[in-house]
Amino acid sequence: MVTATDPLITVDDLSYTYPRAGVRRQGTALDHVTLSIGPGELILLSGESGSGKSTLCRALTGLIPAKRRGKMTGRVTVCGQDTRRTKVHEIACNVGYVFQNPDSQILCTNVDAECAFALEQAGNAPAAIRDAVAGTADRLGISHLLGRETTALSWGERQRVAVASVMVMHPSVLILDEPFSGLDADGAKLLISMLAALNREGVTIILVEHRLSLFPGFFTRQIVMEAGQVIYDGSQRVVDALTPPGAATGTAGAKVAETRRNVAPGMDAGRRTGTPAIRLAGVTYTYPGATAPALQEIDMALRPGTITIIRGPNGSGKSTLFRLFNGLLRPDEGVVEVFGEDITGRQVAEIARKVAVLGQHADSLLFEETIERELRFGPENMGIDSRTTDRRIDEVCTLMGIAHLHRGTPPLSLSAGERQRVALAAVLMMDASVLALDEPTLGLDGRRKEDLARVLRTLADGGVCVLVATHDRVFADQCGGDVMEMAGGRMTAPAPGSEGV
Amino acid sequence: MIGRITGKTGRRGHLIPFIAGDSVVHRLDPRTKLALLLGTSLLTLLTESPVVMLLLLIAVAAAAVLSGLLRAWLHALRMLIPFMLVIIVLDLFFSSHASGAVWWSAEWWLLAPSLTSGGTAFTIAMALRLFAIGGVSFLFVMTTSFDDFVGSLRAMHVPDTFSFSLGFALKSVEHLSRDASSILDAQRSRGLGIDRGLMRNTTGMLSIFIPLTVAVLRRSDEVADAMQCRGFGREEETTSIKEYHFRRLDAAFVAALAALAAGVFLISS
Repeated sequence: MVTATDPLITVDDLSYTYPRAGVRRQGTALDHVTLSIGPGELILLSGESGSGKSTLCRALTGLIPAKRRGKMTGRVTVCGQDTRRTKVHEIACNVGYVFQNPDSQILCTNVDAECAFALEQAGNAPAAIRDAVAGTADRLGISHLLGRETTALSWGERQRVAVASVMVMHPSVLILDEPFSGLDADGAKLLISMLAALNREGVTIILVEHRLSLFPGFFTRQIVMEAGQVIYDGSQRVVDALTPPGAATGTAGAKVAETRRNVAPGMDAGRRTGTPAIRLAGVTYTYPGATAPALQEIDMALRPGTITIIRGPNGSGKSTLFRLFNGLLRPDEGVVEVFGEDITGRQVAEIARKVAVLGQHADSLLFEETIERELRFGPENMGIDSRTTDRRIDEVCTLMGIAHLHRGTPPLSLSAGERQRVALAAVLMMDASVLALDEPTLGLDGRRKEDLARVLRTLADGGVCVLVATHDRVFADQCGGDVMEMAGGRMTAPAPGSEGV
Repeated sequence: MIGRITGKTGRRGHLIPFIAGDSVVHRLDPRTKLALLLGTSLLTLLTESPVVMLLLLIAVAAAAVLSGLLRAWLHALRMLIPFMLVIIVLDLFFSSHASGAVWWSAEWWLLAPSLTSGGTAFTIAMALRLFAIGGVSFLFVMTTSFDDFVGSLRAMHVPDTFSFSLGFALKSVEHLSRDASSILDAQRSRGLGIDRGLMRNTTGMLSIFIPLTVAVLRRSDEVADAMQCRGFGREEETTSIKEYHFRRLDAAFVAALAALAAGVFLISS
């Protein structure tokens, strides 16, 4: 029998090693973890990428050891049941798990059906399911989403539907894996108030996040992991005190950017004049078959040696804009110019010499057998001679902090953060004068983001025109530079210096 | 991370989209629609008469008119034109049904094309069969949502693993095409020239194929986990949030199908 004072979850000396872990650097994903989680707790589970957070969550849901063959020692008990002897779907009634990517967990095309899935599986009567779905939607404040197609929802809406689809089972624990990555500010606000409301009803919330500091004072407990071990478990306030001041608020980054301005005021002024590296005038684009344009009358001019941050909610047109820079998409109206030349009629491969674009999913470009060959792919396509490439590989690897990795390592066997850095390196290898990065920080932890911001500043100082689309305000501050806001396919706040185009 | 390939790029067109609506065809019980789909397809396979085939195609077109999606339906049918051309070339000149009056014939090396009255009638029937089967299938997809399709299979007590997998496989085509286009974008941004013959060069092919395979494997793994965490794998029989009822409207359509079948048999015999 479980009583109110008993812990909901106990983790007793849990260690876990993934099968074929030898390929990756980290062998043991969890290293003698002992925890106890009680009812009504509000927990922030933080740590750098690869520290074992997600593995721990999978162990709490029973996916480990049920689905993964790795080596598990120790014991996990959920509501008095040993996870080794309980089926995943039975544990699911007690522990709800919201995955990092709402797209990989949304199974149906309609919000109602999505929320009903778990209840349908349990064989409930149709009328009872309808009541439960309506009740849960009401409880979570998403009644307005019922009846809509899941594909038509924004990222944040899909995430809230994912929470609802789990909460219909009335689990006593809700785990969310990095729900804030890829979520815009409004979406984040709605999600956090939803979690606060659930917690008030007595649901234990475990929120996984790589940032050490998040909503100071909101969580009642923080667990920090490093290299598979719990290195801190206590009140959130103590960790906030430990984090260097400024790291959370972004003032440190802003200060660096400020210093940079002060050091080279003349240079900055020079950067405001002359031929823009990239210029868009009156650009409008509508996806085939879409009713509303994705971009409307975009005017912008970005000079060499500057950093520009593009902000805006999900679906505001940032990614579409980036595809126009190198001709992946062609404007319906208006022109795109690279160093004063209209790119109409130029092939993407040709424009790519000058404009390097990295889409949101760095992973999607890795395919080679070794890091070395991955880095050479771009330059070889461009016809850059191999001696120049040899020299550049060393530079880029040092710059991106992947010099310690063996060049013969298959990129796909690396950790998520490392893959992201290799992908960035592969794009930097092309030595383009314009660098456009769409959400480059997905999968990078705090320290790596800071490093990336430093790299981008170095590149800009060297004369590269850098563009970054990001939701991450801290990272944006670290990069410094001008900020452009987008909403509904329009530029709402143009960067200073782009006036008079 | 790869799973994020979807995200915000999903505004590109679907091959044959489901178009929500409130027409009589939309309101039919999905089981009725499945029966109509299978029944009509079966009837086209039972006959080789061009007249009967035309009758069936007209019946399907009438259903398309009732669905209010005539224009979109005709648009989708255009995809069948290349297949129709293949049928015409093969069946018209190299028909196994060459009979009746010979209008033209020739001897070209190993080929002996001929144009006969029997062959022409057969070709017309085959082209009409293509449009009848294609047309009824497209109409089914355009008026039945994925959830209704899975729901109807469940309601017929088809094992859940089968019905859900089938439905999900259809849905995955959409994910796959989105993944493929975003991978293609990434590699083109690295200077991969598809216009210079992507398929001639092994590295170029691998640069698309490998990330796509990784994406598919990762997605299937994630989806499997997500399903288990939502109770998939129980022994209980699953239910559906929607209840499907066989109504008068469904009876009318089934009666129409029966009448059509009777007509087909009368004409054929």
